[in-house]
Amino acid sequence: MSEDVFDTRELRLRITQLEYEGLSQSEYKQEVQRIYLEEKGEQIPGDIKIYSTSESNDIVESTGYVGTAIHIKDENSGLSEMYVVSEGSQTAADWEYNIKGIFGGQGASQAIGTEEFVEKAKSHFDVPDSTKVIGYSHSLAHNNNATAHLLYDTFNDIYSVNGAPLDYYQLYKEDEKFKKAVEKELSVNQQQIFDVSPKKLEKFAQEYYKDKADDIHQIRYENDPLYAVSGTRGFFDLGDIDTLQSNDNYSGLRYIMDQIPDEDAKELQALVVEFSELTKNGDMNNGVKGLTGINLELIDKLKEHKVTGYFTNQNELAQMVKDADEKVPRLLEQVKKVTSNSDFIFNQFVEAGYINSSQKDLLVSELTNIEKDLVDIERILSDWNSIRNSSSSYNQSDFSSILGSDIGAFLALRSKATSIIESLEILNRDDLLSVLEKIKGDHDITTVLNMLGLDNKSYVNGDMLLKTGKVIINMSAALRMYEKGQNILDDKKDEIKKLDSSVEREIRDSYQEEKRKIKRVIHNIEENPKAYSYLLYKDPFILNLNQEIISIEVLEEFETLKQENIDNYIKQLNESVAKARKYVNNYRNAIEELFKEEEKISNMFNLVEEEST
Amino acid sequence: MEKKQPKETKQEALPDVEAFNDEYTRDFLLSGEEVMEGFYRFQSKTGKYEMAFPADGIIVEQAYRIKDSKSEEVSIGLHDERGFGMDIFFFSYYTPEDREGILRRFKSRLGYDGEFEEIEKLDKTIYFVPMEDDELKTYGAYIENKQNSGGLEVVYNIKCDNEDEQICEDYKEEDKAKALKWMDSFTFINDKGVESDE
Amino acid sequence: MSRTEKTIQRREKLLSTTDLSNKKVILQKHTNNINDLDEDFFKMVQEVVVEEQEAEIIQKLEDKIVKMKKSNQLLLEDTDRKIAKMVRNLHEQVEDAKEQTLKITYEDPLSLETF
Repeated sequence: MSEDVFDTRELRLRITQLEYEGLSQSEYKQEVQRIYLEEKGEQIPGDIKIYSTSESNDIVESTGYVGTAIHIKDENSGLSEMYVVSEGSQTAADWEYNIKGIFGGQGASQAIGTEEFVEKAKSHFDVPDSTKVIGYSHSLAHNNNATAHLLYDTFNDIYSVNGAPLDYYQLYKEDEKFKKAVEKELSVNQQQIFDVSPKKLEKFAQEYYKDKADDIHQIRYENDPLYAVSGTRGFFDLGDIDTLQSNDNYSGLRYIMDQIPDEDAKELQALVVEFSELTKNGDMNNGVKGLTGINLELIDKLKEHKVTGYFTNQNELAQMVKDADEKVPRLLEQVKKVTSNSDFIFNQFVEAGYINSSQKDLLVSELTNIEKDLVDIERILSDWNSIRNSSSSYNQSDFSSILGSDIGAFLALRSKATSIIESLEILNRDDLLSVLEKIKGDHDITTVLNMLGLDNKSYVNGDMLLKTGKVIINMSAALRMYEKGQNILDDKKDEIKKLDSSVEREIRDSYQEEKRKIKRVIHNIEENPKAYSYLLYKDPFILNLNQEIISIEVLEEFETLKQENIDNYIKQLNESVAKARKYVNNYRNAIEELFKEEEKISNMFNLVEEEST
Repeated sequence: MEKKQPKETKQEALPDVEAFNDEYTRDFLLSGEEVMEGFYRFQSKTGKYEMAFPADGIIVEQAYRIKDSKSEEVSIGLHDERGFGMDIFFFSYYTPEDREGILRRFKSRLGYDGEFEEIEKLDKTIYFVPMEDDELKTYGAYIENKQNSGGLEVVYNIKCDNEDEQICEDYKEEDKAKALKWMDSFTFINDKGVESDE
Repeated sequence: MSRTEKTIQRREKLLSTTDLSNKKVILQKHTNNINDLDEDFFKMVQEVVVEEQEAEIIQKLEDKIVKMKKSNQLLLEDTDRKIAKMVRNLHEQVEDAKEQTLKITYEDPLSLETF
């Protein structure tokens, strides 16, 4: 295990995190090199090549699999390792699907996509057979990698963080060999398997796949919300798992969730996730539309333009009603599940320290209000539907009553929707949102990095911080300053040069050019004096129109351009660059001095300097 | 998603078999008329393929998966004497270019090491593999659409463990023929412009 | 000169006034770019320290960077003013140069000899 190039947890975690940065392939390579340099103080012992799913436009894309392959090779030493970082879930939309889908497995596609991508990467890099294939994953991607490994023997090792566990129901469906083993051992058929005790199946699966367990290594944070929802049936752990304890005041989200019946927990999670996603930008209209299908802007149009609005927006209105018809009942069901248990559920959160009593009361009361509004909306929709259905719209005399009831219905919907918005706005408070933020944050890789208990090292936004005494230095920023800072200073020097030559051109040359223009005119005048007869009439003493110009002589007089010297400023600007360069070097020395116990540091600066020259 | 199944009118009585007696399964079946002996017409909720569905079969609701009209997973529990189950994995995006990887993975999850038997049909190609040496006889096939993209990985498991070896051997030909017949019953629905690929 | 030839002298502006303010924009673009570069640089530097209690050497560096930032800003402001002045002066001188003395000789047949 320790022969791998990436042989520390920090390295693995930071590289797994890169997947989320949305980097181009060359940026990705740079970042991998930088991370390695920061962690090890040396350069990667080989050539790196990157291959990502953004390059493939085929079955991999169709499965929705996203990932990046890193190949490290050194001809001389025979080193050949391929790391495949699979991307976990990202947006709240993915989360919601995950939370719902996860209770029954993701489906076969992702594992297929994983295996196909790994094979494609191997052939793209033209790897020798002895190449080690190592999978990295976070969140849902762990399920992808591990399932692919169990089904297709894809990896040598898998390293995951806060991963979604394996699902034995999913494996039963997809792994025919496992299915046979289950049948042999437990004598159940494809339906009865759901009646078997989950604990029994869990043990059986762990036993059956125990050989593969040696290849799977996980780190998980105790408060990871994904871990919280994975206590339900279907899930099982495989491989070695390092569970990091939380050291703050929040006790086990997992514990809370384990208290709540599966169905309710699922709905609560989904609601919370949807709510936070929709309120992210503070756009409540979108929030209501997203959850209920009711489009307030549309209804307002109707209110304003009444009859014409009704006719010109027929399609939109029909669509809105259709959407609401679909969304409201489902939403109502979700909300009911939560409200019927709300006291119990939110009490758990109070006890665990996430919210206090008054926040809980607020949540309970507003959710109850929302439920009432939804019930009303459902009723309005069904009443309205029955009016519509009971009279033919071709009948003229009924038409206006339909119109009237339509408009009436829309306005009633509007008032209910507005009431929901008011409730949402009451709940959209920073303190409640920050609870959600915290819960989301507990799933992040950076949180795990900072929980590893590393003495003097911590992480923020992909940067590595080092501490000595009471000083904390952002080492990544220091290296950036040293390398990129120099580039900026080079650019500044160029710009100063440009300023200098611009002045030359815009001031000095320009004056010469203007003089030339004037001289041309002078020449013109002297050559064609008669064309300038009008000049005579300007003179108050010459009144007669019979005058004729004979000649014009211009008594030329040109000043030299006053000495406009910007040289002094240019000089000072250049000095400022020199000062800055010196400053950067002083900073480097200061850091090296602070961390003189760490030999790596000065090596890091040297290497980073080499790269930029 | 438009439902394409015509619902049975109250007049027509549905056959009194497991498949129609189970409410969840009935929803997938198009008609009470047999398409071949003991089988009825089943249509995928993606609207992209049909197959013959066994009278004694029940679709396992907890195991059912559909993702837009891109992929679908159907698990069927069989309640006849010897049947165990059928599994159907449909992927609308499979193409002949992907075949090598598809077969490689299929073999892996079947636990099979040999070659596929290639059976050409007019509208599809069936890559067939019989695995007949276990307590569960497994017949697997990758069915490739000839006219459009799309492919099916299907597995038919038949029980053998309660019988003595001889009966198992005797039924071998019959079981294999049954499996092939079922696999041949798959048809892809290729209308363009009617179903949109999401 | 014949009896009817006369001359007058007059100053005339031979070309119309031109607006040179564009030059100021062009030149100050450079100082603006330099300012942007300075900002990028200082931003990068200021990210390096997260906490610096009791580290005199770091505090000195932090003070220094604040000073540098300030003096760079002042220098750029001075440069901008100089640029503006240069363009103004150029404008003046150019406009001045456009004004020249014309000695016009003309024929006046109706002029009376008696003058």
